[in-house]
Amino acid sequence: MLKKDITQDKALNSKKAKGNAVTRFISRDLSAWILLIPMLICVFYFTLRPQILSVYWSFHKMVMYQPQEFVGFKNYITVLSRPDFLQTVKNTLTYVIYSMLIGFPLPFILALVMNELVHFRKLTRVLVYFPGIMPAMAVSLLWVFIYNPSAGGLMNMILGKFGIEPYQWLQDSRFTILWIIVSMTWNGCGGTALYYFAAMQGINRELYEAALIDGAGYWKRVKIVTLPYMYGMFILFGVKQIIGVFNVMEQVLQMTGGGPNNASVTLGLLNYRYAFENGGKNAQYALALGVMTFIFLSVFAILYFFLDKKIQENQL
Amino acid sequence: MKRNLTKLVSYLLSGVAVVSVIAGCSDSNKNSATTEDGRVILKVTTIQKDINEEGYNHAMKRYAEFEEFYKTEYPDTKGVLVEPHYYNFNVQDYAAVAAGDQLPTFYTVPMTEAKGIMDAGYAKDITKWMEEYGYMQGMDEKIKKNITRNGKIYLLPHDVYSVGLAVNMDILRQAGYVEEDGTPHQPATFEELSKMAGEITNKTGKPGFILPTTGNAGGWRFTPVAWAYGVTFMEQDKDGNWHATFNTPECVKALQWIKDLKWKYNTIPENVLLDNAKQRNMFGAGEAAMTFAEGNGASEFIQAGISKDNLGFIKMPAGPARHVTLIGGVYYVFNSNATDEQIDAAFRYFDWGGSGRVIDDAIKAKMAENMQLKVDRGEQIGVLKSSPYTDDDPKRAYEIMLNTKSPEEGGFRNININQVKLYNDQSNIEWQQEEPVEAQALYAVLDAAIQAVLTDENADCAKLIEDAYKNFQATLDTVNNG
Repeated sequence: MLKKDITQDKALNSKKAKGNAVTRFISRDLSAWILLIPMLICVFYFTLRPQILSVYWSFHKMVMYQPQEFVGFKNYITVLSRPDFLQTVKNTLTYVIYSMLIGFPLPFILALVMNELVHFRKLTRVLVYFPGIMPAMAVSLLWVFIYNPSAGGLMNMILGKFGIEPYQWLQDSRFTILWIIVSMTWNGCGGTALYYFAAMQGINRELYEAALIDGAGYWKRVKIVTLPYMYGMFILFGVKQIIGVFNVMEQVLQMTGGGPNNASVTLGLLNYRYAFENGGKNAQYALALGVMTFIFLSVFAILYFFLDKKIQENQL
Repeated sequence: MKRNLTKLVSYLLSGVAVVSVIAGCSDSNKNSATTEDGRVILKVTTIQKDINEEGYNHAMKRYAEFEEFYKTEYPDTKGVLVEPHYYNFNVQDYAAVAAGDQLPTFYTVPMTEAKGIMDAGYAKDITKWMEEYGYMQGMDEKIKKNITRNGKIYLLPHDVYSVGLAVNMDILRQAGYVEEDGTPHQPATFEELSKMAGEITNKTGKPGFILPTTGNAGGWRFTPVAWAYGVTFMEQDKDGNWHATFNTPECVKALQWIKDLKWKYNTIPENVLLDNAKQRNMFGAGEAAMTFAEGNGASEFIQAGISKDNLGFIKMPAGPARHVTLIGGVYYVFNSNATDEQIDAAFRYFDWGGSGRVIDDAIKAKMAENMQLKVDRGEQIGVLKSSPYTDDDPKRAYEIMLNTKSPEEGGFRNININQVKLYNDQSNIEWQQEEPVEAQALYAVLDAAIQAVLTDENADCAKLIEDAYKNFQATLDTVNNG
């Protein structure tokens, strides 16, 4: 037998062996694979394929949603060089900062209150979670009425009781983002508070009792028992919140349309404008901006999964 | 045995799920041009049954009548099937629907979007039919230019409007701005309009004027005001490049006019971040005396609450430089994938239904029937829509008669004509179409400037216009660089 033939035989055998291994691997859990197929098709068509295509198309000139010629990084350069981009990034970061300052500690405070309550615990839990069951758009509409700048707006009526002149609320461009974050926090903090509350319920009571015996007051007990126990969850929810706030769009669209004078435009809203407001004419910029946001948020998502794993393993 | 049976059922269910998913992703919903028996399929936008059952049933009846008519009138064909289709043009979803080939045979689009649709290749060349069915005779030259691309016609004008002012007759009457015969006062200039609005607020406590400011609507409404002040928004140089040209004192003055409405005359409502829908609802609910509007927008105001007898229209005031208004409209676009037979059937459908150019006794009867339907729906009849055709065109002349004459005179007018007559008289006012390039981007930068002057008493109009100019030039640079 020639050496060449022996090599070919070996390669063939190796291929067969590999093929057999794959077949064995699949046939071992054939039922599971068959059951997975519909989900895999759905994930491919509705998640993976659009994402892959959007990255690919972001390097193309688009006519509405039809890709034309390849243009390299031109769409990215255009998005980055437009005057509204920097303002939008700044706004989005402001959203994140306000959200971390207001929306981050509030659920913890609510959880502490719920944890300390002796009476009406169930009712309080329902009330705290209640805003969370309302759709974001309905909440935004509700808060538009609350923030109505006329004397008939709810907040201005309250101010009026104290003899204070009506305030512009959402129309005060210096604080528009702050007021939007307040409404979002009202909508979203109940859910997080319940998670925190559940975690607090899991803390060993003996730790509190030991701290009490050592003379620790309430705040000291929170500091030395509750906070260390919650540390992992704080990081996890913090990262999740940053990702969520970065994508905010519907609330801004409903409450201010991005105004006044673009003071509340977010990356999400800018993306929406590129994609839809001009009959799809700027779809290529929407894709480019979407990919940039995706890359940026991927870092946070990876961090989220990493931390989640650590928490699951009780390493945080 | 039981375990095997469970397994078998699981496999079967999975198989069904896979087939369903694959079927869902297939192209089975693609538009077909004919039925199995060879009838031409005409997909016509129809109101959904659960929204308006009466309207839906009426449409179905008409479709059946047309199918019968087609069979009798065109015996050499295999007939037509009119299928209800539920797509109404919406700028947000159009691109996706078009890319998925889910458009009806023909549909209406606003003039502002027509250019983009032609550019994208979704509009069918209908030159042959436009000439054959008589649509080109007597058409306004500007409109002709707008529907033509490289010598071919892609759009069929359906509705043409010019921007004016809608007025709440009751509020104006309270402020003494309605004559005894029911004619609302026509401010001659924008300055007079501001003073009038301010006085209405002083006398009635209601906002004298309201305008949208978000979703590009503010910029859209601002452009005719700026034209009247002498502003030219953009120019094309000899190399074909576009340049923004509105960083001028005239544009600053036009913006100052809006600022004064709020801070000098105190006539704008407190809540200024309004989109078109909110503005329409507020005006319809009687929360403002005047607003920019088109004559064909009456139905939407009435749906929002104002009665037809309380809704008046006047024309746009003049500015220091020009007396001009924005002309817009709605066009029919034909699906670029439609066959010649489908387009033929569509034009025959227009002629049969009375919206074509044919005018005879049968068509007159059909037009009268359509007017009666509007009356029955509680619509306001009296405002005269603008038209792409001259007033001496026989069809146009009959339309004018139906809309402006009382039932005793053979028409269908159901309001005092004086409340709209100033708007109906479009003589001595120039018509200008919207800006030719990146109009939506222009409106977006102007929206921001308008919001700024309405929310900040100390806003610097000159700086805001300069910023808007720079932002818009950045967009034009993108266009210039291809």
